[in-house]
Amino acid sequence: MAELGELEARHADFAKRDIRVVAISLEGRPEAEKTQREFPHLLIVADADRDLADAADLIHADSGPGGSDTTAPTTILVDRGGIVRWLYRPGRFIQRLTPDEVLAAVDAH
Amino acid sequence: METFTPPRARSKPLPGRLAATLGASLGILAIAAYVVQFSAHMWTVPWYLPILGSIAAALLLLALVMRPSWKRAFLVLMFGTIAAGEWAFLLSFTLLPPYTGPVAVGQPMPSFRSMAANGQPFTNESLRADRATVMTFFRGRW
Repeated sequence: MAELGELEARHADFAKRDIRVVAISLEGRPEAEKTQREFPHLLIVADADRDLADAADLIHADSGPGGSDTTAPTTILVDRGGIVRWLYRPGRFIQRLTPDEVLAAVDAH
Repeated sequence: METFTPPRARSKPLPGRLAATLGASLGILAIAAYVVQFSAHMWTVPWYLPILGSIAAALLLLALVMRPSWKRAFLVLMFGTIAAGEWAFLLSFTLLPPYTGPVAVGQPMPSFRSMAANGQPFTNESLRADRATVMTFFRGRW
């Protein structure tokens, strides 16, 4: 979850580009509310019913604590019309994009 | 009366001592470097970890061949196992399958209905907004 802190710290750079950052996990609302308080400039989504993660096929099965499912770390850029402009999926779940890399992708697309 | 002092025996360095010291230090240094990388939230793949771990194990093996001892055998086994674990971690355990799902560049997001932390619905309609959206899927608070 450390990547959310990095994105939060750079919220002004995203705002300057008219970008909002939405962070999605399979956790329920109580956990999402806690996360939202910690990262007030991000929009936290509690996808506990997996509707979004299933629709996008982003479930990483058995990869969470106790063999639970999580979402595969993935970043998607969607334009104002709701059209996908870029998708990044790392080769390993220990990899993450830095805010600079996300901003560079935003600028490039 | 003249006294005779026998020459002091010069202590010889143990064979393979340098290799053993270097090997053990390298193995510990690699793990310490990864702890630092992890703490600094640098999310690149730490290839140096198994590479340095393997070199450490090889140096310790060399030291064991030069002068066999139980202590050195134990270190070879320990650092060899750590290096094997590091290779397995990077080459197998952490792999994500390539994305083959329905999200495609140039297309709308597949239809979904989820919920924001504040209880408001978050759907495809939420993506048609006055701002573009970066959606980042994360693994959770744990």
